[in-house]
Amino acid sequence: MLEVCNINTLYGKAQALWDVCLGINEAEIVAMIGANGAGKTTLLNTISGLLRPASGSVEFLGRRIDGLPPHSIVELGISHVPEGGRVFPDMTVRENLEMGAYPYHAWKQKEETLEQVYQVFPILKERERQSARTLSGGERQMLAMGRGLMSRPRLCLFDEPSYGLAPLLVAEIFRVIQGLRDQGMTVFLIEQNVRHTLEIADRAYVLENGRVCLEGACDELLQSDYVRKAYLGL
Amino acid sequence: MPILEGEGVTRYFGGLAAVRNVDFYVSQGEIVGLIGPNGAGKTTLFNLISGALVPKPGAIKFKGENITGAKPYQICKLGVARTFQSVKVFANMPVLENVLLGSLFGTSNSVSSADAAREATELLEFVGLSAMRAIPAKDLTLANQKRLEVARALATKPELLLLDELMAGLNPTEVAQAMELVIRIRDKGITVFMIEHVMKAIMSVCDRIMVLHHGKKIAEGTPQEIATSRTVVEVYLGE
Repeated sequence: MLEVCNINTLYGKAQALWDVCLGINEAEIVAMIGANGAGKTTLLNTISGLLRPASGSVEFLGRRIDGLPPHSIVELGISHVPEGGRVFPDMTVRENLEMGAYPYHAWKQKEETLEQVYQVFPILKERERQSARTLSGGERQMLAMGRGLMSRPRLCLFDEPSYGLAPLLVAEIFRVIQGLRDQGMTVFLIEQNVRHTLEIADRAYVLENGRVCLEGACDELLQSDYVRKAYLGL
Repeated sequence: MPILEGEGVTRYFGGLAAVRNVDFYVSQGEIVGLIGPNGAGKTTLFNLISGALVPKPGAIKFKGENITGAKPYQICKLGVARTFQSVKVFANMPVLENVLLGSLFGTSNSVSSADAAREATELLEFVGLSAMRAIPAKDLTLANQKRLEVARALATKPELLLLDELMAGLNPTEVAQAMELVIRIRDKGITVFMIEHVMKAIMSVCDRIMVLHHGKKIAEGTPQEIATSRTVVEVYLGE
């Protein structure tokens, strides 16, 4: 479904990604783990068009998307949920969600999608008319995820969805992501909650200093001495 | 005597009691944890302590002095520094200058700029950001921006440091390093009051833990007591 091929991305003269290759199949959860600063967010930004790679290609459903502006990439069916619950603080919860539905095909089904999002995150329905700045950190994270779903994406890019969430909510968020996959959504998941992530994902890549250094099925990675030591703190 | 004390601390947002009649204390040299579900009022309590919000009603004392209603900069000068849940660095300023701001703002009035620069450099070393001193703060990862906030807060020479989710966005190996950082801060003689969701960290570094739920204090005790509290498991930890 998504094919990233030999991507190199730079900030000015500083190179953040080096020849990164990865593939994501339909209805899979693929995870990317790596240290703080390894380039995980940069990779997501490169896929969603917020950054343009210096070289390499990104193909989605057989079509080149590197170089397209972010809004066109959303319209093709990729939704990017940024890290840290980035929402529009002065808009209400409902307005934030509606902002996610601007692609034409999604706008037509806006009400229906909204109901689905409220089913997944009932707290958003309760807070519908509140401005987003009054939400707690965890609620903001759910709003950002809900907004991402409003464009009815085929592929969702989640950047640390468990960031700043209480233990019970972390478990809930991981259940939601699994549920999305079970309904046929494809998910690319960046996470620091390594154990939980490897438990729900199908495959994972390990990124170090901007390079993919390891990839494989999650149950194998969970057994790997290297992953246990470097990422699970065991 | 506790370094920080709160009595009946309350704050409403419209009709919603974000923090409701909370009594608390932090003793000198302690590491105290503040946990609770998202939306429980933890960050609001930090905003009340640091003066970003004023309790209505309620009183907060720092080293015995009533600081209720004091402005954030006054509270900072008295010796209370903080970091932010949603990071607030000076985005376009280089990393080192962010810390320098803290040094030059700090409690001593006669800091030479050379001394401030030396001190800021040492603090960057202390939090592990030396290599990034010259780049704009916005180019740091979120987790590193949090560490930058720690350095900036330490530069104001606080006696009490409020840490709001320092460990968020770190993997388990990095969490271990951050835990070590918190202990090194305490070993400098600074009292730490920290909000954290990473249980492994909070359980192993804290002397005492307080739990908020719907704005109320529902439990308080040693990590062992908290981990086995029926109520805390139900509302926060899960089975």
